[in-house]
Amino acid sequence: MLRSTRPRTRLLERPALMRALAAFVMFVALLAPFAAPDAEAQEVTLALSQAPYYVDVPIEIEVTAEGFEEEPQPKIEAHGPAARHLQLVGVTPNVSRSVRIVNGQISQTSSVRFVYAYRMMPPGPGRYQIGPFRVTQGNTTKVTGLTNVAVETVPLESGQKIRVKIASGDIFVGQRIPIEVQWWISPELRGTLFNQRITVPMLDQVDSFSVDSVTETDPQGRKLQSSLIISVAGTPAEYPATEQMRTEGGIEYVVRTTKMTVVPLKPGDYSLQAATVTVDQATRWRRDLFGSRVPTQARKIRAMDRSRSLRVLDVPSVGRPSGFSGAIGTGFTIDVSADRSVVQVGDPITLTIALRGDGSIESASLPNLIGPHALRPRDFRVVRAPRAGRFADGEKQFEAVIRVMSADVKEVPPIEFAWFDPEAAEFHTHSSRPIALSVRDAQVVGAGDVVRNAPDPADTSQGVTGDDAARDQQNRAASDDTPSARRPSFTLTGADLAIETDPDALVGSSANNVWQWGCYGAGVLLLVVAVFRRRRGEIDPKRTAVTKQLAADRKALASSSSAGEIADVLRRMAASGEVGDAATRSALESVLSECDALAYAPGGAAATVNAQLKERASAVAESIKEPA
Amino acid sequence: MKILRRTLVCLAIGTFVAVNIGASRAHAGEAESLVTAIEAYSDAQSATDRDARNRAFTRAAVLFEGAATDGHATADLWVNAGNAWLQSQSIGRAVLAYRRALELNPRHARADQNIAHARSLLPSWVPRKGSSGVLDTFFFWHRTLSRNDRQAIAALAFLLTCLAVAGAVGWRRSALRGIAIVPLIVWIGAMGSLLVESDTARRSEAVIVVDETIARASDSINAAARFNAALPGGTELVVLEERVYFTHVRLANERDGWIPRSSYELVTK
Repeated sequence: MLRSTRPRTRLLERPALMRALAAFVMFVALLAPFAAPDAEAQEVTLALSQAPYYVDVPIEIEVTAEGFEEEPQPKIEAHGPAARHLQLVGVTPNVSRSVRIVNGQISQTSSVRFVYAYRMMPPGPGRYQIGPFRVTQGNTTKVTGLTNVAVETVPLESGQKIRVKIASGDIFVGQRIPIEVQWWISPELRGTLFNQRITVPMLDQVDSFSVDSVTETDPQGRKLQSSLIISVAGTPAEYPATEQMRTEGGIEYVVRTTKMTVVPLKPGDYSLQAATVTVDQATRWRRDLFGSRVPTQARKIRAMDRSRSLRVLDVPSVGRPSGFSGAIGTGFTIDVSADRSVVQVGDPITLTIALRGDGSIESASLPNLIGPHALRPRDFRVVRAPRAGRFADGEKQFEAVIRVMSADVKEVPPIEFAWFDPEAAEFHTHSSRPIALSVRDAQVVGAGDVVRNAPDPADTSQGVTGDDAARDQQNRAASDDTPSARRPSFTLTGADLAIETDPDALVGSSANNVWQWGCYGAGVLLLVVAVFRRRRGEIDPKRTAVTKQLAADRKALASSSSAGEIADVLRRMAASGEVGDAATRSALESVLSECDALAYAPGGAAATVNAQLKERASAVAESIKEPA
Repeated sequence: MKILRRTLVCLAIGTFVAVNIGASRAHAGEAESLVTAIEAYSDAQSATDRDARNRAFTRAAVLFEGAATDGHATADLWVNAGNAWLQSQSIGRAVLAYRRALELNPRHARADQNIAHARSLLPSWVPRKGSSGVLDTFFFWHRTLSRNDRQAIAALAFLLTCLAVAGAVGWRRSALRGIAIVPLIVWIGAMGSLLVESDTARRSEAVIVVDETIARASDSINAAARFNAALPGGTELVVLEERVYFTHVRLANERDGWIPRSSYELVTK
């Protein structure tokens, strides 16, 4: 909650003065319509967070400026003895506009408001005068009033402890120093503390110390659930912490620990003030809707660590190896790989250089690649020097492009990387493994330039030697001159180099496949034909003759029209074929008797039958089948 | 029967005409490119400057190889390509072309002679393919006859078998039954030979075409070299396993290593 203070005007309640004032007000009111429209009246107010105020607990201060123009933003200056403890946190401009239409008259109003937020960190107990603040825009200047605050020391509470553990002994610039910040809470305070904040003066000196990393997981790789609020560079931030039970002096404490590494940036002797933890202890509670305890009244308590001194030394300048580029730590390694190993003189080779180690690897850089402990200047040229590099998974990778300048080069030589080990206070070096290169001269060599060499008898039976990389390494020195030297000279005397010049002979035909498939198809077809012929041959010839006869009779029946002929045909069919069931036989007899009746009637031998009878005769003929 | 006979005759004539028309059309295009290749080869032979000669033979080789890849190549065409590669001093590609020629015609004398010469140009330590075993001697025809030859023999044997069986069944000539056994055995032998020579085995033989190929101990550019010298173009090998960038190969002396995928070509595409 903020309380407000304004400059106050005391009014004297005397009748004469009141009358004079009333006359003046009326005069001004009469003149107002004729005067030029003036800007809205400016006003500045000062507001502070609610007391009490404690040492090292920030006081929030707000200066509100109203009635100024929207542009430019008014400037603010803090005056008074406490001004040096003030820090401007931010400015919040706020502009609101409204439009009114009354009886067709449009009126527009706007309200401009700037809020300047300050934070004051009282360095010690006592009374502090805050203000005045001067707000200026163009020729307009407004000043706030003053306010006095009483700052007291937060009482020390023995039920909690703050401990900062830093490695003892001399440390070096660039060394990663592990730090543990521990907050111990006794059983009687457990559950009553909130708004915890830890101040470690060393971490506020951003010019001299830098936080490198913070441990966020436990040894099993799980994310830490607890946390501590620690002020770093004056800004409180939440850092992951472990939580465990520890017993000291017969009391069982809950200990929250945040582990981080800090890198000193400048050498010097540092006297570091004690780290403190300030926290609110709830003294009164209430129950909320869900039955949980909510603090309604609290008091601030704190705990202090001991002050300490720290000596930060610079890395020794004596005995620095040529491959030293500022890396500090332990166990650095350098690995170099090449994208190609068979090249011609002048060809570019991309080298990938990987640095690993326990130290400031992220900010590590490479030494010069050309030098006595790296690439020889007469053999190599750096086309693209390694740039900033990429850091990932604890490894920093650089890429460089080099060119081989001589065909005598057999390898990318070891590249040396040096670092300073702060624990042993000495320099160490590590070299990459050499990379074998096969370099050919850039000049084109023709067949005539090759000089025949006597075959190497030791190599004829062996074939490709070397079973593994180690053996290859041993053999490489001996075989450096082998690949081209042992190759027989290029001659063509044993070859028949005439070519076939008939295009037809050179091109095969897909007909080959076609006739092959034709053979298979014809073979299958032959088998089918044979089986068909075999089956056909197995049929009885008499039966075939009857079938043929019946077919001829049916044809004759269709062409005949006289009753006598029809009767003859039907009788012939009935004799050679099989009439079948009784119904067909009865139908046959009926047709025959009708035909006979017509034939034996006077003049009926040539009499034609009617269509109905012929149709019935045809049906009967169709029913007569060859005998089974 | 008349209808059946007429249908068969029509089918045979139609197939013959269609095949000949298609073949002659394809032939025309291929013949044109082959004439160009042959002219390029002749020009290369007449060139006196060494570099120009190499370039001309390379051009002729590319043209021959293009024709061989596009159409129905014969062993002679691959031999032409191999001769051009050999004269352009690309031993790897020459060996590959001769191997492809011998794949089509294992008895091709010129291919046999020239691949032997190309192999002799390789360093002495490069392992060569071993000599034939007893089984190879017995089944000589399995090695000496090309795949196409064996396919043709199988087709003819099948037709003869069917003819004999058809005669025995359809025309009741019982003597033909015994005769049918002979072509049947030939057909089974030829088909067995084709099946034994499975696709997998044929498709794993390869030749290095890039000079100075380093065989490595694993499929990484940074892996240690497997041998003490780079493999020259023309080294014959068997592909064991193909990965994205590297291939696991075995040489004729049973040594193995990993080489870049771009450094070799399979004999059978």
